[in-house]
Amino acid sequence: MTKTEYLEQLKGELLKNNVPDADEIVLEYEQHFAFKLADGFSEEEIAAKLGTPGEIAAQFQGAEKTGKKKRGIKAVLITGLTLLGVIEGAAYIAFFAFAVVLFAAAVTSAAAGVMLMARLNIAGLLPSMPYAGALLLGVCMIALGVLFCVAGVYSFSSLRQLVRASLRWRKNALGGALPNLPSSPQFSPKTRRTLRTVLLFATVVFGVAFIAGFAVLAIQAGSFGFWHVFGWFVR
Amino acid sequence: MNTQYKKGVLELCVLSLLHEKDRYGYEISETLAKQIDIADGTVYPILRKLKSDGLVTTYLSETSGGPPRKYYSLTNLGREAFVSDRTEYLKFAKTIESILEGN
Repeated sequence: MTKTEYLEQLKGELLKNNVPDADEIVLEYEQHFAFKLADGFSEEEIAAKLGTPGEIAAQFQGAEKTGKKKRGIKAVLITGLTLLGVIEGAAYIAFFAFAVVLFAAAVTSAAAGVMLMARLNIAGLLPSMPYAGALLLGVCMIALGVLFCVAGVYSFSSLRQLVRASLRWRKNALGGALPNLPSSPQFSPKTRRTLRTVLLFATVVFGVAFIAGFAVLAIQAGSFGFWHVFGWFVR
Repeated sequence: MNTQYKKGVLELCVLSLLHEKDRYGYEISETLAKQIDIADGTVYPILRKLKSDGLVTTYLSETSGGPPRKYYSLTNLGREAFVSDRTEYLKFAKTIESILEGN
């Protein structure tokens, strides 16, 4: 069989089998001929080694087909997945809101910390206390802000990974054959180490600054319940 | 060797070749045909299937003195699929080997 004959037959078989993009496929085989001819093979040899056009076209048909018979099951599956998706979606929105709250808490804590340390008593938000205590509590609040921020990052990553895993699972349920994704957040080893270090460091700073601040204020007020002495929570 | 065995692993072989580097169709076909006894035309339908499954993408690359070559490249999905299928296959092959050698 010559090159032209082979390609024509292949195209005919592809069209007969309803394989899409027949021209593109034929082009690929044309290039195969070109490469082989350049290596010194004859058109007949090349055609013989390729396999018959009928066989090849049948393989392309297999490559495209994605379960036509299962249409009924698929409709049920899609309905089920959609209903499940609504519930999942609501949970994801709640989770998203939670993560947003964590970030808001982070910003608020850090802002309170800065206000304490910089003696910025905006709108009388801060209770009165000696500056030494305010400085330590300020550090403590900033550390708390960092902790909230790390928690927020974990939450967002978890949410993102959950959504991705869920989408992948759906795709597979509908006939995909991709590996399922883990549902826990996937950080690179470097990010994971950094997050862990930040978390540890912020926890230690928070604990130490809180205890020290409490101690300093208690000593200055001469009472463990220093807030009574400084007149907090009193209007 | 029985062609039924080969069919299943050819996909994995193609993914493995593409995991090394991007290659054009003929290159893949030649590399495999040299080592495994298959008809030269079998690799192209596999590439097509991998593409419709979203495991590979293609791009055209100009070459000096010839038509542009269609290169195949693994997608992220393709990479994931390769890594997990490879592990699975190697484990499977080991089991089969120990069964066959036991008898």
